[in-house]
Amino acid sequence: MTENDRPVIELKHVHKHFGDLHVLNDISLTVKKGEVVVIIGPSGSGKSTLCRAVNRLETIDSGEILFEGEPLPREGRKLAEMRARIGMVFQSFNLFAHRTVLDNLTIAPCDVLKTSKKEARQEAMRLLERVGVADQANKVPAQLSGGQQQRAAIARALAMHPKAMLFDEPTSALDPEMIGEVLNVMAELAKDGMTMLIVTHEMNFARKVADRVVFMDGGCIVEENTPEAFFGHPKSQRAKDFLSSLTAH
Amino acid sequence: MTVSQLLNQYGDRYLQALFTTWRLTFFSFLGAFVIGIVITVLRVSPIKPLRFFGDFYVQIFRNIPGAALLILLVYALPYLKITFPYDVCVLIATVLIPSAFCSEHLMSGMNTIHPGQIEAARALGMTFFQLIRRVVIPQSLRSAVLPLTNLMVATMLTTSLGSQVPLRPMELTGIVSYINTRSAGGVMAFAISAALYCLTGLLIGAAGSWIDRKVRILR
Repeated sequence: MTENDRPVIELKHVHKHFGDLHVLNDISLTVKKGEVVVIIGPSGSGKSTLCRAVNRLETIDSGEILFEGEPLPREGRKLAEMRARIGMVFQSFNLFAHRTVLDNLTIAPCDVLKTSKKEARQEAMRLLERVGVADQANKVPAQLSGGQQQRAAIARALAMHPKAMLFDEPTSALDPEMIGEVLNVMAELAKDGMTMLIVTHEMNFARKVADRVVFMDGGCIVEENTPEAFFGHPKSQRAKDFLSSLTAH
Repeated sequence: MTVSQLLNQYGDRYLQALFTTWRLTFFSFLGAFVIGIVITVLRVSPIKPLRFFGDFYVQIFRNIPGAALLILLVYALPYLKITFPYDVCVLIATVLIPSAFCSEHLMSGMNTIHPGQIEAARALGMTFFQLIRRVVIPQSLRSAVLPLTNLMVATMLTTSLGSQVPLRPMELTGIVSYINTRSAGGVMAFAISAALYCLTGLLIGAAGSWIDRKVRILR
């Protein structure tokens, strides 16, 4: 196995129930180093739950989740250390409302990685520059547009030098004109070789950026294929129905 | 006696009493604030017995009358061979009761934090204490400035418990009994203390509003 074939994220027969709802049904999925995997599917299909289970924001009932070959610790400091290596971007940005954008990027590196304050600030400014919100560094999140907040949130995750990034519907809460700016940042990241697991409804983005598309429905992975094959010739009826429902109107 | 006669004769003592009330209020509130934060952290900690203890603490001290607590401290504790000076007894009572309320205010301040921010902190690898210190307590404090201002006023009024024990120097309520046992100060003696309480309350209120404007979180 070469370095690049090494799985970064590995799910093996993962099950989870929310009450009677079997929200993750025997999910097995591997994301290799540098790979961009996009999960699509109707709402309620379990795709967000899957994404959140990878850094244990959701617990699972059975099965196994490995990150860089190690099983996810159940709780405590060990889990925190593992999470520090996994970047996460949320639908609702979740920037810390009481701190400036710059502080949002420096708190975790200073506290968790013990980076010096000066170094963390330099790195933060470099990242804000990269996602195009450096001029907003000293504002608080509420003063930024949604797109700017989400780009800052991506930068905040990157400040921890993650080995992989999880995106849980990162553009679903954005006004249409701001979606592009966030997707551009994500496409850049993908080009730079970041390992990414992305839950999204942006089909064009999936087509262009994904190495692999995973289609989920009813808690199961129904189909897994290259974007060309999936969007060109979906195999399952459910995927066909889903894709046609997107273009129906 | 008229107000001016009272002030002529007892002005110094009123002033001393005012400062005593201020000093008691300051230390009581400080103690209540620190303990309130600690109790709140216990109440949200991942360890069940600590959560239980925190909740229990709040239920006890939120529901016990100040006078009853003071009587216990002054008259019951000596039976257990624990005797505190009077001023310490008053201070303990005026710390414990407001600390329970302080914790309740912080808990409601915590409810203003979007749960997503907690998840974000966890996803960044922050431990429980880092999360508490960096995200939860700062935001709940900043959202609770006005209720905490009320609490400080209530704490000030609670320090009048000091009149129930031989406290030296006397605070604003105690001084009234002192004066009225010596002169026929009547209701005017009370009125002066009441005015000084009001003045203090107004100052606390103004300071609270100012701090609230400064630290309020833009959402």
